Amino acid sequence: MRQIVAIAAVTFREVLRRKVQVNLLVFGSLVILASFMLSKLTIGEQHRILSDLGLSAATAIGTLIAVFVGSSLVAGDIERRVLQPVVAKPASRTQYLLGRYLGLSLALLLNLLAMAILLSCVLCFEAGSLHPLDASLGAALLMMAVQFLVVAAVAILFSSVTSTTLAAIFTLALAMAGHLTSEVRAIWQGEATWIPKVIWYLVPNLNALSLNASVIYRSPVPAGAWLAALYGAFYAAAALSLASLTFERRDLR
Amino acid sequence: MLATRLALFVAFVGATGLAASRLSVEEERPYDIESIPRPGMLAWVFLGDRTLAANLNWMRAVQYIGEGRANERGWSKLYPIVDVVTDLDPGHGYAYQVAGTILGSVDRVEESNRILEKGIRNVPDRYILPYLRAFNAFYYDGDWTTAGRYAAVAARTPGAPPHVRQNVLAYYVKGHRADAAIAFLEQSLLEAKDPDTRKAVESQLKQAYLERNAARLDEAVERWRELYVVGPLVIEQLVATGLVDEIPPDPAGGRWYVDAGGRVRSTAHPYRFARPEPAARRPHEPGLDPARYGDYAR
Repeated sequence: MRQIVAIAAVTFREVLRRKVQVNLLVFGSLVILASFMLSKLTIGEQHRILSDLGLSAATAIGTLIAVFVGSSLVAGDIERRVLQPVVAKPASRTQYLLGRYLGLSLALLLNLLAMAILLSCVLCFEAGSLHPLDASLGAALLMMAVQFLVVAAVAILFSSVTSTTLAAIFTLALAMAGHLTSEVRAIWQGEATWIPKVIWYLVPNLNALSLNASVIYRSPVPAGAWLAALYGAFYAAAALSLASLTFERRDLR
Repeated sequence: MLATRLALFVAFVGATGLAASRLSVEEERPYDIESIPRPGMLAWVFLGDRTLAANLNWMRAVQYIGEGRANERGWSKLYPIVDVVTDLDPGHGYAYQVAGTILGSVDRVEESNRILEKGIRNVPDRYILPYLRAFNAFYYDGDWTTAGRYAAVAARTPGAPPHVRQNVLAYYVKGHRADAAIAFLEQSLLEAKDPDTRKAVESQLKQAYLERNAARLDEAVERWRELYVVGPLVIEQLVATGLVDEIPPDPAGGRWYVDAGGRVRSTAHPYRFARPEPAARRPHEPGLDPARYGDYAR
C-alpha cells in the first residue's frame, strides 16, 4: 500500500506539472466563462444554456485531460526507460499501475473541483442567489468524476499495452464511442441486433454517467443514478484488472 | 541579398492586397438559417449529448427570431428549427411557447398549432401551451369550442392561474357549448379543495347555468323576431306561441327580460358574455405587428 501511495504522490505532482493539463484547464475555464456570455444571447431560461454549456465544457476538458495525460503515463515511462528502476524496487507492476491510476485520478478530481467552483460561481452570479447550488448540481459533478475515473482507467489500460500515441487514439475513440452506445442500440434495428448489444457491454456507457439533464431541468436526481455510478466503478475496476493482467506479462525490454 | 528579400516581401504583400480587393464581399443581409440538420445526425455529431445539441440550435433560433429585418426575410425556418430543437430535447418547454406565439402572429397558424400541440404532449405540466393553443383557436380560427377544450386542459394543469377557468367558461359559452362548460366546472367543483376555490367555481357555475338557459331563450327570441319583426313584450309570450315548452328557471333567482339588443338577461344578474367576435383578419403580408412587438417587428 505504501508503494502505491508513494507512486500516486509522484504521479499527482507530475500530472499537475504537465503543460497539456494546465492548458486544457485554462481553456475549460475560459469556455465556462464564455458560456455566461452566450447565455445572455438567449431569451428566457438563461440557466438552461449556462448550466448545459458549462457542464459540457467541464466534461469535455476532464475527459481530454484523462485521455492525453493518462495514455502517456505508463507508455511514456516505458518509452523513456524509467520504468525499469521503479519495478526493480520492491513494488510490483500492479502496484505501479494502481499508483499511476490513483495519482492521475487525484489530479483529475482536483481539476474537476477547480472547474466546479468556477461553474458554481458563474451559475450563482447569473441567478443572483445560491439557489443553483442544489443536490442535482452536486450529483452531476460527482457523476462526472466517475466518468473521468472510467476514462482514466481505460487510458491506463491502453497505455500499459501500447505506445503513447496509439493509447491516446484508442482511449479517445473509446471515450467518444462511449457517448454513442445508446444511439447505436436505438438505431440498429432488424438483423444482427446482437452486434450493438455486444458493443453496449464492451464500450463504457458514458452517457449513463451524465446527470447534466437534472441540472438543466432542475429536476431531482434519478433513482437509478447510484446504479450507474456502481456500473462506472465496476467498469474502471475491470479495465484496471485487465491492465494489470497484461502488464504483468509484458516484456519491457 | 537583403534588398531582394525586401523586394519579394513587398511584392507578395502587394499581390495579396490585389487578390483581396478582387474577392467578393458578403452583402449585409438579415440573419437566416441556411441549413437545418436532422436531429439524428446532430445527436451523433454532439456525441449523444442531445440537450447540448438542442440548446445550441435553440440559440440559432433565438438569433433568427431576434433579427431586426425578420419580416423582410420571412419566417419559414422557425418551425423547422424549433421542431429539431424539440425533437432533440422534448422537454424544452420555452421553445414551444416562444415558437407558438411568434408563428401565430406571423400568419403561420398551422405551424403554431402543430408546435404547441407537440409541446402539450411532451410538456404536460406547462399550462401556457394549451392556453396559447386555445388563443389560436378563437383568435385566428374563430373556433370557440376548440378554444374551450384547450383552455380546459390548461385550467387542469397544476399551477395554472385561477382565471384560466373563466376562459374555459367564456370560450365554451361563445362556442354555444355551455353544457361543456358546466361539465368542466362541475368536475372542478368536485376537485376544489379550499373554500375560496369552491366559492369561485360555484360563481362560475352559476354563470354557466345562466348562459345555458338564457341561450335557449335567445334562440326562441330570434325565431320570434323572424315571425313578428319586433321582439316579445314579455318572455312568457315565447311559451304561449310554442317557441319553447317552458321558461327555464333563472339560476340567479331573478326574472328573464329581453334587452334593447335582443338578448335575454336576468334581472338579478344581468351580466352575460359578449357574443363571439369574428376571427382576426389575417394580415396580407405575414409579419410581426409593430404595435405588439416593437423592435422585433421592424
